[in-house]
Amino acid sequence: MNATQSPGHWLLRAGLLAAMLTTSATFAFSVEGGASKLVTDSALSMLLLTTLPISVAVAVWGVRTATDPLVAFGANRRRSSLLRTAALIWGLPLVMGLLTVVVLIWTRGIADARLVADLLATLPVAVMAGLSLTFVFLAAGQWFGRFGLLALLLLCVTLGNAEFVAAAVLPGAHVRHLLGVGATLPFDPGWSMAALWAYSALGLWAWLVRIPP
Amino acid sequence: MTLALDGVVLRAGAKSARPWRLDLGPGTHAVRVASTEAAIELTKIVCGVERPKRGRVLAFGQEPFETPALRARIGSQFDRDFAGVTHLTATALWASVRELRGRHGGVTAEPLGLLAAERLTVPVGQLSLAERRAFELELALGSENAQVIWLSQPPRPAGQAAQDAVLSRLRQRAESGAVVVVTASTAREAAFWGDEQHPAAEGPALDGRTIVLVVERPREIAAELQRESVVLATELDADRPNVLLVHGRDDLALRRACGAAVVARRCELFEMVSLPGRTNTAALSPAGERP
Repeated sequence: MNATQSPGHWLLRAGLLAAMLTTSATFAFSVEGGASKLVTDSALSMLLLTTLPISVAVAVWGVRTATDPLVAFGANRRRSSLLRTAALIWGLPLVMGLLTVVVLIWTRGIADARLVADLLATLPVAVMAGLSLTFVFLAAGQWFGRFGLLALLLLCVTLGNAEFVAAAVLPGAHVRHLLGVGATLPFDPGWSMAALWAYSALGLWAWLVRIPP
Repeated sequence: MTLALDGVVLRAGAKSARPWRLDLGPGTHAVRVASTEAAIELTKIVCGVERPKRGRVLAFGQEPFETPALRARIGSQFDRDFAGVTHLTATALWASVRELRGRHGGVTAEPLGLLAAERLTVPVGQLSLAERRAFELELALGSENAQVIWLSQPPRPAGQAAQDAVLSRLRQRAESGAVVVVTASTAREAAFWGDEQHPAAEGPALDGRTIVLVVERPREIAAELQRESVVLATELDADRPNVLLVHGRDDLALRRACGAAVVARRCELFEMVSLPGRTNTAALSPAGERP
């Protein structure tokens, strides 16, 4: 029988995995050298386009919360699921935000004059990327099970990283557009931020609607 | 029909089991289930915590799994581990359940005192197994306007007073129209819960009706089951001369017994003692045909 493990437990695992991947990748890019902006862009792209989907998939894959005992007494399963998964919903975007800060400080240097401006511009993107992918993965897991998670992860790390317009169906393309990395999408970056909000809302709705009341 | 299991297939023992088909009316039913696993799973399905592998459960026309308001009116007991709320004290958990039931129009009765007063302030996770079971039974019986009460191999309350209180409350619920079902692993337990519902003092013929034991098991264990059934029948027979043993596949016998308190058909892997006193004559045939 599968033991149930709390979302907090899996948040910790996913966070550690993300930290290790980010440290390795950023270290590798730093050693390779090159222009400071290129290193920063590469490390951020790696973090938000590859490490993030992998970490979210791992966390959602592993989470098997026990049924809330109060469900048997009339508690609503959707509300209960939302509360019990709150650690992931808040935690994953926060972890991404923290790792983004680490990457920026590491690659820019603490004395860089543009560091604060870059932080202010990048943090909302990292947090929204984390939030939208968390909800999208939760929805995929709820609808299609682990097969759905795996398929979505593959899509994110392949199509999500591709530089063509069709990639805009996934959050990754919008993240790249907002970071100003790779080919730009044919619309204002503000629309990409709106798209990340829309993914979050749609993912949340699709996830909850699949849970019986 | 108030509680119906329609083609329900359990995960426990799924390979050998055929679908459960049950139609139960208001009243008290003691059901003997083949294994504890099956009993627990069945209870979780009826109280809406889990979905059956196949088939569906309808209580008063609604599916418990899909209907929070209905779940609030179902009292259940299946040795919960209370995972996720073990930090709450029994009092706090009781208050949460009262609040939830109230949200759906349910009324929570005063506790029977099955859990000692000094233990009410202890977190549920720190209660002993026996205390937790007693508290769970308390929760199950705590709904004043329960529609269904399904107890999976409930513990016999310690002490005659507690036993009387529990059985009295079960009787009250049944009399107010609830479907009360107790699953038991032995004939003696089944008889215990039912006997108290209908004490011998009410008459040897149990209101002039007949107890019918419905038996339907796979062929390979039929002989063993026959022995068990005879034991059960004998136990009951001591007080009640009109016990009738019916094999579940024998439709003609079922139809003959319809005037009695039979409410089972095609029941797999269990024996059912349907205790009369209520109108329990629903659905002897799929179409609701009455002989």
